[in-house]
Amino acid sequence: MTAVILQTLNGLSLGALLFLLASGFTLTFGLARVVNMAHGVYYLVGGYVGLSVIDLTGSFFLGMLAGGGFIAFINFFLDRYLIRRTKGDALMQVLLTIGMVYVLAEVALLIWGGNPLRVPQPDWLRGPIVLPGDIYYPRYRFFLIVLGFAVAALLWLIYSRTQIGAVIRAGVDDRTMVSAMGVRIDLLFAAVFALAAFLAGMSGVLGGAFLTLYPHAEWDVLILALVVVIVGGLGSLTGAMVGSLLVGLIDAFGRWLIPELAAFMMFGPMAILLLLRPQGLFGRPH
Amino acid sequence: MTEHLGRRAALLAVLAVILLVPLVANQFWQGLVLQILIFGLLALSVDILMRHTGLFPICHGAFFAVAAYAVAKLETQSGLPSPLIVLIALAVAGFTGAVFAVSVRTSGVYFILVTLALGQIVWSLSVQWTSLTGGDNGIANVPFPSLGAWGFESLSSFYYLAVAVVLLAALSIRRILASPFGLALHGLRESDSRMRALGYRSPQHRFAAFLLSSLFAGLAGVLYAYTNQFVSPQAASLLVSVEAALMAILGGAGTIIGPFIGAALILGLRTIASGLFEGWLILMGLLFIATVLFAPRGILGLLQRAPGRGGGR
Amino acid sequence: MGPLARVATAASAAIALSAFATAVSAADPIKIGVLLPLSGGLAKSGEDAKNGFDLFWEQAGMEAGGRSVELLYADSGCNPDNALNQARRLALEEKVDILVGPLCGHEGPVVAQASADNNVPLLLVPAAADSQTKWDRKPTVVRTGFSSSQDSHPFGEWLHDERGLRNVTFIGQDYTYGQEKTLGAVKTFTDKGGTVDEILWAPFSTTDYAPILASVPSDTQAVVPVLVGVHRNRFLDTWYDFGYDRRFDLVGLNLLQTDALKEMDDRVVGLVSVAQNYSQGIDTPENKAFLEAFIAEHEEVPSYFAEMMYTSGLWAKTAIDSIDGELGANGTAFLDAMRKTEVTGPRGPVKLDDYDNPIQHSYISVVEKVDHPVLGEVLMNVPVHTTENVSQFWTWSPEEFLARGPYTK
Repeated sequence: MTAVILQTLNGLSLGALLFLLASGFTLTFGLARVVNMAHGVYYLVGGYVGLSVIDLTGSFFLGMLAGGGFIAFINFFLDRYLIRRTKGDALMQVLLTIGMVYVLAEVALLIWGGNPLRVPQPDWLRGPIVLPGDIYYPRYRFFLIVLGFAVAALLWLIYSRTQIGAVIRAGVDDRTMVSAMGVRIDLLFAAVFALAAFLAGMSGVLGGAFLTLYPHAEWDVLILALVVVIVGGLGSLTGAMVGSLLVGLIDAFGRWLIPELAAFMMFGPMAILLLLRPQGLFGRPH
Repeated sequence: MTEHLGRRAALLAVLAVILLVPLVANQFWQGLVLQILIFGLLALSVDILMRHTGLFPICHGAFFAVAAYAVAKLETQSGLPSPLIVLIALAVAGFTGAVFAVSVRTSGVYFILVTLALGQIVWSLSVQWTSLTGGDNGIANVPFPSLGAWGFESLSSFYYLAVAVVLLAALSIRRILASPFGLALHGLRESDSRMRALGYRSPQHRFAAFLLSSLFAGLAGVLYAYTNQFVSPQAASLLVSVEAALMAILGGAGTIIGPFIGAALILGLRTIASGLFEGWLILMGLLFIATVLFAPRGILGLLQRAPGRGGGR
Repeated sequence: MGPLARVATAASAAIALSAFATAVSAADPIKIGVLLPLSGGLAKSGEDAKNGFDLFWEQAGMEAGGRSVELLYADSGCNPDNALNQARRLALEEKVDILVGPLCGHEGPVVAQASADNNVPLLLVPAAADSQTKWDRKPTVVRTGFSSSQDSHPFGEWLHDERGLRNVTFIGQDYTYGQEKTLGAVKTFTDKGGTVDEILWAPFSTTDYAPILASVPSDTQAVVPVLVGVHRNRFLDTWYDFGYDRRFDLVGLNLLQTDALKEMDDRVVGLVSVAQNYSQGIDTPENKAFLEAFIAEHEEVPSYFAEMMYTSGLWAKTAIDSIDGELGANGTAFLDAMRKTEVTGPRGPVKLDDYDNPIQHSYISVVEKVDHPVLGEVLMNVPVHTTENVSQFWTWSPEEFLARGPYTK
């Protein structure tokens, strides 16, 4: 029983991190049909920038803001001068953004070096909490789970209850209608892109504090985030929530129960799901 | 000189150069030319799907790798004659292709992401299933192909067989694409509904195209195992799949020769740049970006648009 | 001329030019071609290795056997295809006399193949796959690094005899090096009578070590990790975060090498963490001189990659000196000299066995906090147990070991 609780918590904490990364990916796609493979490298670079700021100021919170803010800032230019010029061609977007991954990751390597770096956790989150039944669980991971749920709730509120959300949902369904409504769609797009990039950069700081930052992390997290959006359904916020939880839990329980098949446990069910529901759990048929 | 004759003369010149390489140049150049031809064939197999069905796969490293692993494993441990081994390897690639063809139920971005994730399964297996694949060390000392007492001894003798196989493969792809089947594929890409009305069944056609593409990717993998005499998980990595797609686009313009030009550019750049300076991956990234922005129809597309200097105009 | 014709002309010109490269004469410098990952995920390890090699040759005045020495580095990127191209380019186009490298295990076989095909001697270092000096040897290849399982054998016995453990759980990185290193120790530990409760294999795709650690049997005495790269830090962070340090003993077989120590805090002081053919705290004049020279130049403690390459340089120079720079046809005289030469590097005395793998000391190290005049307080590995002159075959005869086959799960 103890092990089940532990693994559930492990699944939830990884799922929370994946949600922060995948929600941005899925929102950008849902709104603008942009496939940005650079989300993985945004995670890494955001984490590195956050780490440097924390080293400088000693504040984890400032590090989160800086990591997210920096990525939102560079994403503005990358989107405006590069991604937008692909004019919605998915193939070209994938290639272009993979090119961006190479460049940014290699530049990050030149700046921060190749040693694995750990983002220091804030003092008040260090050490374990002891749960009933003598279960030790790290305070930081609880924080991550809470934060993940909080961000999910906030995004969901914006998405389902506000006018901005209504426009986003309308934008997903019928883009010409949104323009006809006279909404400043370019401004809306810019805001959503900034939010998505901010979340990706911030997740790097959060992830770096328990998974460490290292070259090639950009691919490792990207692939997990992709599985989340494929399973959940591209463009669906609910899908990103459910997908992150599933992937986090499958990862934890898979490694515990059948470690030899851990990789299969991640990709196998995904393939079967696609056979039954190609659009993912919550995606729209296309 | 007319454009048509010029093209034919150029192709013959390239072929002549390729055939001369073992006579005048060392193993480094032989190996490099073969790598270009092999990865060119892989890129061409991607191109079949990309140009003719509008689907963009990022999983061809998987077919390439399973075939290469089959050759390496069987050549080093089974004692079967090479032709049989090659057939088995192609069957393995085709089987993997048939399984991965689940993905043709999706399209657009979904197809890209789904194939990417599927390809990762083969990669993780190749790293983890050590007893089969040799894990991270891979399988080394793959001999050149042989049949009974007769076999190839060196890279320079195997070279001609490899060139011939690539040439035959490229020509047969050309034929297939010009056949009613190929034309139907193209039609499906342009207008799904109209082709349906004409009685074509698009899912079956897509499935067939996917299978065909995986077989040629497997063939490239077979040649790769023999040429490098070695297979490792690198063959199944995301990078191979992505680069194959880039080679196809970079060469471009939907021609048979395009992917080979793309392969020559990328492998040439890597070989030269990685001997010169350390940040060469930045160059690769910039090449990706520049291709998308400035040459989405590839080098050939660029050249065709640019005013020719010779009598071609 | 059409576009294809233009491409064709350019291509023919390039190949024709290269085909008529000229031969070198005997009085030229000795060219050493070095293959390391200088870009991508393992660039830092590659750079450490390069720094170690450069340091040696700078100290030696870029000279060996009366001839000047020229170093040519090529970036293999840890990609076997590229490693093969670069090895052939160095051998055939640059016409190097000696190849050195590669770093990544899966590049080893192709580089060895290129060396054998083109008759250019290869100093195989630091790539460690057991097979390359056991079942899959090449006449042109001698190893100057170590074999994966070489240091595991004395460690397994030490775990039982000195450390007094009877029930342990191994956590092994699930790839060739991790398996060979883990299973070598499992073999000698169980041969001594110890019990391995479980071997938990951690694939490279392991992002989170919490699920794996939750599988450690609760009655095991100690956990023995055999992890590489970023996995070492990630494992330890999880270990402390979850309070496992209060429940199990931790004895690392492959855990806190220097590069991983940089990101660790004082909690790891006193931890036995690595069994390897080098330890930064070796108390010999050779090692101290190396350490100080390296620190003076790079302001960091040299990693084992740096030492590995430094001693390879020393070994090669001593061999070349002994034959007065006459490397012989295809470097055969050089290879013979390498097989006869014994040198003492920072890691201690080294010589080749009959299977071209170094016989050298094996160190089990503990993490200590050292107050260094240049670096200040710094964590460093210091030997707690040294086994002298360890062969890759340990106490078995080569025939017996070879018949048993490779360590694989």
